[in-house]
Amino acid sequence: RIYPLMRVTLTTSDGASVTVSRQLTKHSGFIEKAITDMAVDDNAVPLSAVAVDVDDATLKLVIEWLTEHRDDALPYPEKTDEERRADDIPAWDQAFVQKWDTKEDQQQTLYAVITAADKLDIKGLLDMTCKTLANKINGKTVEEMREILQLECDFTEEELAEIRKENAWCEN
Amino acid sequence: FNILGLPTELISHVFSFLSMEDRLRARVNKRLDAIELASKYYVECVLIEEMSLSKFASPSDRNCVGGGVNRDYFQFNILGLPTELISHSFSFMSMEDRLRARVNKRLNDIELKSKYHVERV
Repeated sequence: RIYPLMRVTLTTSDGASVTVSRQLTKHSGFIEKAITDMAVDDNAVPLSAVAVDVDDATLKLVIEWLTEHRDDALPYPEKTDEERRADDIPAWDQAFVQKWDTKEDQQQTLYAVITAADKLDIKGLLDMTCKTLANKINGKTVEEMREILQLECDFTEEELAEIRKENAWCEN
Repeated sequence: FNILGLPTELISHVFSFLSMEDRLRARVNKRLDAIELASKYYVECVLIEEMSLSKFASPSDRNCVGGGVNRDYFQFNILGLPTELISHSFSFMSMEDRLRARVNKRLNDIELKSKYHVERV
């Protein structure tokens, strides 16, 4: 059972502390496990401190997302052998990510939030940010993908020729 | 975006949201190529059309050799699959075919570690 009034203090990797409702942290598998491992007495409702390996700026974004999604159903529906689509990101989430687009360090922010969602085991946020990244490379040419992902071609000429041959059916 | 900074599982998760064409194109370097080769694809349906290749290629072009070695016209990069998937695929083959399928060291090792179900001995 989750006690929504219970507050949890999260200590970030850069030393900041943020206190949030248990109603938000219940979406994080990592924080829930940390609280459970502390064997917290439900009646005492203590201020549990959980150290999270995420910096303060990123944690604020994570909390903003969790606040919007606090009423999402749990457990998060796992999809395995099904078609996965990236065009179903909810409008609020799209606007949330677009706010970063105005920043110069947009890609670093996306990277930081993906990594934080993975570390904190927040499946909904992880899926949303991974879809956002997938949408950045969807429909791009090989050269455009290489530019977006900032990758050098490390194939030999023979390997490259083989890959071109394999990809021929999906190129115009 | 520094995608190579992400762990392999996350890259694979991101790629799972791409179309098959984009996933193939996204093999822009060796690590991404290896990740893609080890990934699963979901396809809603596949149309398989049987046709004879004999009209189009000579036996040498078809990579077809005699002597009972298990080779066929269909080509598939099975070594790109993880060991569990190869083993799983082989589990649907007859024992004779599984023994014949040990056409290289890795497949031989996989077969040696696999279980067989036999109805009667």
